[in-house]
Amino acid sequence: MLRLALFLISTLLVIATPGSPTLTVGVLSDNNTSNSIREQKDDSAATAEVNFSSLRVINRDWQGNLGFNASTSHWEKFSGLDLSPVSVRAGLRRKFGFGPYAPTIDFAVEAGRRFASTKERTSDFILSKLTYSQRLTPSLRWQASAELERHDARRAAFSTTRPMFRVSADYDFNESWRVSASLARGKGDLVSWCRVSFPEFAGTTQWLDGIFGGDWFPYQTVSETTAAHLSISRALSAHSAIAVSANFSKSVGQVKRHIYYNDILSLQYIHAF
Amino acid sequence: MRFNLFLVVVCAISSAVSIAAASSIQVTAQDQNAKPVSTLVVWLTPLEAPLPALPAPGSLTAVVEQKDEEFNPYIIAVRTGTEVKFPNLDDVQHHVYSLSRPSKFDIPLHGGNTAESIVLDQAGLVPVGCNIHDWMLSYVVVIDSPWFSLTDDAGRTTLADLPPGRYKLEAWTPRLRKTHEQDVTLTAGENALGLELRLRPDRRIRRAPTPGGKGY
Repeated sequence: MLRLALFLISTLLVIATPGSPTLTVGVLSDNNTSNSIREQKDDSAATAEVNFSSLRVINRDWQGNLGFNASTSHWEKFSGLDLSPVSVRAGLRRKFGFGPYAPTIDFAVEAGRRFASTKERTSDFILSKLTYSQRLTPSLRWQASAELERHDARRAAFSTTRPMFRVSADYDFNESWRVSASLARGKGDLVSWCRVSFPEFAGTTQWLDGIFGGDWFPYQTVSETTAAHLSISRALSAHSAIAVSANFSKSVGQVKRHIYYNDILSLQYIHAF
Repeated sequence: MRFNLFLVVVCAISSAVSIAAASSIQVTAQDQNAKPVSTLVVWLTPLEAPLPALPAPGSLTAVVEQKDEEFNPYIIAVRTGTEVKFPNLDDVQHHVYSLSRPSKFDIPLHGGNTAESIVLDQAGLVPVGCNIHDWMLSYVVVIDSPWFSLTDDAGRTTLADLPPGRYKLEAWTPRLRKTHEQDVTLTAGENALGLELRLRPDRRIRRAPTPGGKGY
């Protein structure tokens, strides 16, 4: 209830404030919410996000940006996974020339609190991101980015550090249809859930969080993740679009070389006010 | 008294002759698919006589406003020496610029109806963009001739009050590879001209946002 109220208040404030607010709502399905190698738990969620951005010209080459973001997710079967992050963002853009074809470098830092329905999972987080972007034609734009995300949660198992490198491209077939693709790779902490009955944990004492049932507990492993993302979007107007996306990731644990697969399909609607 | 009456009669006859001698031309433009071409800038330059003198710089004004994160109008034609104002009617900041040969400028404009202006004192094409919002684009066509107009949704426009004679007719729209040119001869009275233009597809930068997608 608190998370929903927080999200609704954020939405109203964002829409009322001068700037560039956007609202995104959607549904997604994840075939392995437990990030498990033995017992994958699939589930679906409804998601909503408001984002506000205000850009200021500093001089001919530099722009500053302040932003606010609030989102929420509600899972159908495993409501213990519900998350509602709220954050503020500050960024700097260096533009090398004028116009849409001038390359840009953006550096942004985002800090906030991610509220979780499972209280021990609530965390303070900071995300820093460096992005190079260039439009090559009216239809084609590409980006390369490096990001580092750190969560400090109430329970150590949920405190993670995760760097990621990503290359992406957007191509517009016409004024209505766009396809976006990206490849990402990183090595960092991955949270997985296991049962105490699994052989490698026999005889150990674990903190059971109850998200997936009575004998499930979270644990962390350092893993190398490779992810591919594909999205097709259709513009409904100058201000809104709808998109279908697929994200496929493979994470390889560093210690026991366990492989975790995760496929996420989503349908989203976005409106820019 | 008789001399004054004579002068009045001579003036009246001269005016009647001038009005009868003036010509006009209706231009109708369509593309390769027989669709009307709207917002086509059409202008005439006399080949056998000098152009009328340009007005004093800044004596003519035009407006290209920023509203709903778009320039309005998308295409505008002005006489050389026109002062073009750029009012920002949005809440957000815009950074209006042009890198064209006739005029180079950049103007950061805060929201809330702040405005600045530029006098365009050289003929030519002045594309105008916003350095923050990539999709925003406007074209200001600066013309030495006083005889210019834009076609309507039916692809038609009329240029009037021209002395009869030979002219160079030019027509431009962003979807043309280059400005269309042809010589025309205007006779006294009404003239008509049909243009068939080969247009490229309208490829502008998409404005609609893209959902971020969920995943790793």
